[in-house]
Amino acid sequence: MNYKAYGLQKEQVIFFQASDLNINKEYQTTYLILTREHLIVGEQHKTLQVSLKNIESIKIEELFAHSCLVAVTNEKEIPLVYYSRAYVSEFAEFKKAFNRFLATNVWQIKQIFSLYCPKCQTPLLDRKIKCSQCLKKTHIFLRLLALTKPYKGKIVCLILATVFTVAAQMGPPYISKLIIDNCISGTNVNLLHFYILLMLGCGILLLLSKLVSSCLTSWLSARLAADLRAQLHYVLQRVQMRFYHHRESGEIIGRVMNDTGQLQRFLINGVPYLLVNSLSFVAIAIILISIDYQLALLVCLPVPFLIGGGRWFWNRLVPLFHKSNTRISALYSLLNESIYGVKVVKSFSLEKRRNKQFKTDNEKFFSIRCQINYTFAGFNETMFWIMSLGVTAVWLFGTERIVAGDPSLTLGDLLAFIGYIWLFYGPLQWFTSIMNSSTNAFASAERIFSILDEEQETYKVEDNTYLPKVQGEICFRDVRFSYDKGQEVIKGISFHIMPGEMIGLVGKSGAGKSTIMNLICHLYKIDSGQVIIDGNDLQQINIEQLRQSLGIVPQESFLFNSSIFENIRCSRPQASFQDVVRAAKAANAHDFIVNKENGYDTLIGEKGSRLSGGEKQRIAIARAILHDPPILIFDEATSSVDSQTEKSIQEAIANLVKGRTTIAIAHRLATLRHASRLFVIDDGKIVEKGSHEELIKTQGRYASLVKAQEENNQLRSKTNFIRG
Amino acid sequence: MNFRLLKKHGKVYIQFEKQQEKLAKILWARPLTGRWKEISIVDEKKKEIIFLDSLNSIPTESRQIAKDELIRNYFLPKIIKVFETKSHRSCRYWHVETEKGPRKFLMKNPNRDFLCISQDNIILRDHIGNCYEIVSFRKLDRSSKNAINKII
Ligand SMILES: Nc1ncnc2c1ncn2[C@@H]1O[C@H](COP(=O)(O)OP(=O)(O)OP(=O)(O)O)[C@@H](O)[C@H]1O
Ligand SMILES: [Mg+2]
Repeated sequence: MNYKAYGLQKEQVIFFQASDLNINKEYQTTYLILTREHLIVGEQHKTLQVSLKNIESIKIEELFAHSCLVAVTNEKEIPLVYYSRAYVSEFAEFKKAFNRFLATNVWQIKQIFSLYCPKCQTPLLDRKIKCSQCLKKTHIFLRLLALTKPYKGKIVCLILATVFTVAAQMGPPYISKLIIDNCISGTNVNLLHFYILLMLGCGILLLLSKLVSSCLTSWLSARLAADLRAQLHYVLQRVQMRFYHHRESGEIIGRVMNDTGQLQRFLINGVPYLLVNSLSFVAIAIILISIDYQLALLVCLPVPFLIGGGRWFWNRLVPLFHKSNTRISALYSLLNESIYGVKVVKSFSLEKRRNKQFKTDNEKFFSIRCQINYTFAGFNETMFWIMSLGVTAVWLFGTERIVAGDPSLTLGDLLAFIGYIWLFYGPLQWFTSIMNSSTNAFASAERIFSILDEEQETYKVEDNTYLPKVQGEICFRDVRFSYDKGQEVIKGISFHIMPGEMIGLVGKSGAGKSTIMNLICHLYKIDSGQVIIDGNDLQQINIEQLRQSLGIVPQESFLFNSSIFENIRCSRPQASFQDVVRAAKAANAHDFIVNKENGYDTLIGEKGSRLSGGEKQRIAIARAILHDPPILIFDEATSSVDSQTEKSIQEAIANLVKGRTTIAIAHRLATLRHASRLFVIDDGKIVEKGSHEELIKTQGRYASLVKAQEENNQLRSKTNFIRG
Repeated sequence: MNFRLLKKHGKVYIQFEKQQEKLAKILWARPLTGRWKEISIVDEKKKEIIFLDSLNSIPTESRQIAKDELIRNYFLPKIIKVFETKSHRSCRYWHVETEKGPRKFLMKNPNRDFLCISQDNIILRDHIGNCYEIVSFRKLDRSSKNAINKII
C-alpha cells in the first residue's frame, strides 16, 4: 500500500486492511487504514476520513453475498467499506479488534490467512491451504513415495525385476540380427544353436522377472491403497465438524473409495510401465545409435510429433475427466438419495420425476464418457499412424542403402532396427497415455492428501489438561458462534450452571438450542468468548475425556446397523448385559425390546429403519444412561413418544439426574417443570432466566409460551371430546 | 394494502395508513431463481410484515425506494466475458470480466453451484458463497462460451 497517497507516514499507520470492493461496489482493492486519530478509507487515494473521536463503535451489516462495515457515530451510521465474502473473516476480526481498541486503546488483532494465494493470487480452497496450482507434481510424488517407506525391501526387488525385464526384452532383436548376419548371410550354422539357446534364456528371464514384478506391484499398490483408506477413515473421524458442512456424503465416500482405487490402478498399471519403458527407452536409443546413427536420426523424426501430440490431447482430456467426475458424483448423490429417501419418494409419488432426473444425468455422463473415449481413440490411432511413418521411412532408406551395397549396413542390422523401432515407439505412445492416468492419479492423490491435511480436533493428551473428575460445572462467557462466517447463530450468551443443576432450554425453533449443545460438546470452535467446564477453558480440556463425561441424546439420534444390544452398549463397550438391561429399563425401552422376536439381538436396520421413532429415541436414551456421565444432555429426547411413555421416561430421568448436571431441551414445556432453572433462548440470546414459578410470575416470554401451549392442549382435548 | 415506504437517514421504514412507521427490510423471496419476483418485507425482528408477488403492486414512489434498496442489498455482478477457465483438483477456476471489474473465483461443485435458472440465464456461485450472473449465455462471445463448455 502506498501510504504517501493518503498523506500519511508509515509510522502513523496502526493497521490497514484491504477489501476487494470499493464504495461503488466495483472490484477494486480498497484500504481501510487505522491511525491514532482517524479511520481512513481509500482506493488509490483517500476518499473518506472519519475521526475516531466521533466513532462510538463499528458494526457489520450483512447483505446478500457481501457485507458493509459501518461506523456508528452519535448522529448517524456511516458506511465505511464494502467487501465480498472473501474478506468476511478479516473484517470480523477487524471489527472485534477495533471495538476493543476504542475501549482500551490497545491494538491487538489475530492474524487471518488470506483466501488468495500470495504468489499467484488464485483463490484458495481454504485459508491456510497451500495453493494447489503452485504445488508441484513432484511434491505429490514425493509424498506418495514417502508412503512406501515401510516396504523398502520390496521396492528394491521391484526395481531389480524391472532391470531384468528390460534386459530380457532388449536381447531378441539383437540375437535375430546375429542369426541373420552370421548364420543366414554368413553361413556359420554352428552358432545357430547357441543363439537359439540365448533366445530361450531371454524368454525365461523375461517370464520370471515379469512374474516377480507384477506380483510385487499388485501387492504394493493394494497395500498402499489399503493404508490410505485406513488413514482417511481415521482422519474423517477426527476432523472438525465444519468439514462436513459443505461436503456431501457421496463426495466424501467417493474420495475414500474411488480416489484410492484410481491411485491403486495407476500404481499397478502405470508405475511399472513407466519404469520399464523409460529404462528400455534409454537402452534402445543407445543400441540404435550404435547400430547406425543415420537411421537412428530418421527414427527420431516423429518423436517431437508424438510428444507434442500427446501433450495436446492430454490438455484436452483433463477437463473432460473432471467433467466426468462431476457428472458421476451427481449420479451417486441422486442414487444415494433415492435409496435413503425411498419412503419420501414413494409417499409423494416422486418416482417419475426422479427417474427422469436420473435419466438426464445418466445421459450427460454417457455423453461425456463417449467424448473421452472418442478423444482417446483418435489419439491412439493418430499416434500409431505417426509411428508407422517412421517405420516406413526406415524401410525405404535402409533398403536403398543395402541395395546400393553400403557395407556399413547389413540386412541383419535393418531387421534388428525394425524390431527395436516398435519397442522404441511403444513406450513413447505409452508415455502420453500414461500421462492421463498419472494426472488422474495425481489428482486423486491430491484430493486424498487434502483430506489428510484437514485440520483435526486436538486430542493430544500432553497439551490438554486432564481433569481429575468432571464435576459438571458449565460456564459460558459471552460466547459467540457462527456456522458460516458472518452469520452469527449464538450472539453473546453467558450463563453459569452449577454441578448437579438441571437446566431446561426453551425457545423457538431455530433459536440456537441445539447449537449450544454442540458447543458444550466442543464439536465446533467458538468465535469469541469462553466455554468453561469445571474452571477449565474448553480449549484446554482433552476432547476425549470431555466427551466421555457427556451423555447426549441428540435431536436426531443415529443408530448403527447392528443389534439393539450393540447399539445401547456402544457408549460403554465393557458394560455387561445386566448393565444394558438396567439402562434399557430406565429408559422404558426394556418392555418393547423383549417383546421383539429376537429380543436384544434384534437387528434394527440401516439408521434404525426397522424401529419406530419413539423406539429409536428410547434406545438413544438408554445409551446415554448406560454411559453414566456427570453431564447429561437431552435434546428433544422424548419428542416422539406418547405422553404416558414420556412421563415414565421423565421419572426415570428424574431418578437418573440426581447429582448430575443435566441440560434438557424440550418443546413440550410441561416436561421441564422440575428443572431448577430455565433459560429462554431467542435468536441466539438468552432473554429470560429463572425457575418455572419465577418466570410465570414475571409474565414474560416464557409465561406466554406456557399459556399458548395450555390453550392448545385444551383445544385439543375439546376436539377429542367432540370426536369421541 | 395501503402502505408506503419511506427512507430516512439511509434506512427504510414502512408505514401503514396512519400507523407508526416501522423499520423495514426488503428481501427477495427467491434471490437466485426468482429475482424481480416475490418480495418479503420484514421488520427488525425478522418477522414478516407483508409478502408481495411483485414490486408492481407497490405505489410508484415506494416502488423506487424498494428497488433501490434491493439493488443496494443484493450483490450479483453480471459476467460480461469469461477470460479463462481451468479445472484442477476437481475444482473449477474462473477468470471473468464482470460489470464491476475483473474477478477470479473458484467453484467447488458445479452440480450445486452452476445454476441454470432458465435455458439462457445462469447463476454461478463460488466456494465461499459469492454469486455471479450470466444474463444470457447465448449472447456471450464465442471464446467465453468455449471456456464455459470446457469445464461444465
Ligand atoms: N450446520 C449448520 N450450518 C449452518 N447453519 C446451521 C447449521 N445448523 C444449524 N444452523 C442454523 O443455526 C440456527 C440455530 O439452529 P439450532 O439447531 O441450534 O436451532 P434449535 O434451537 O435447536 O431449533 P429446533 O428447536 O428446531 O431444534 C438455525 O437458524 C439453523 O438454520
Ligand atoms: Mg434443535
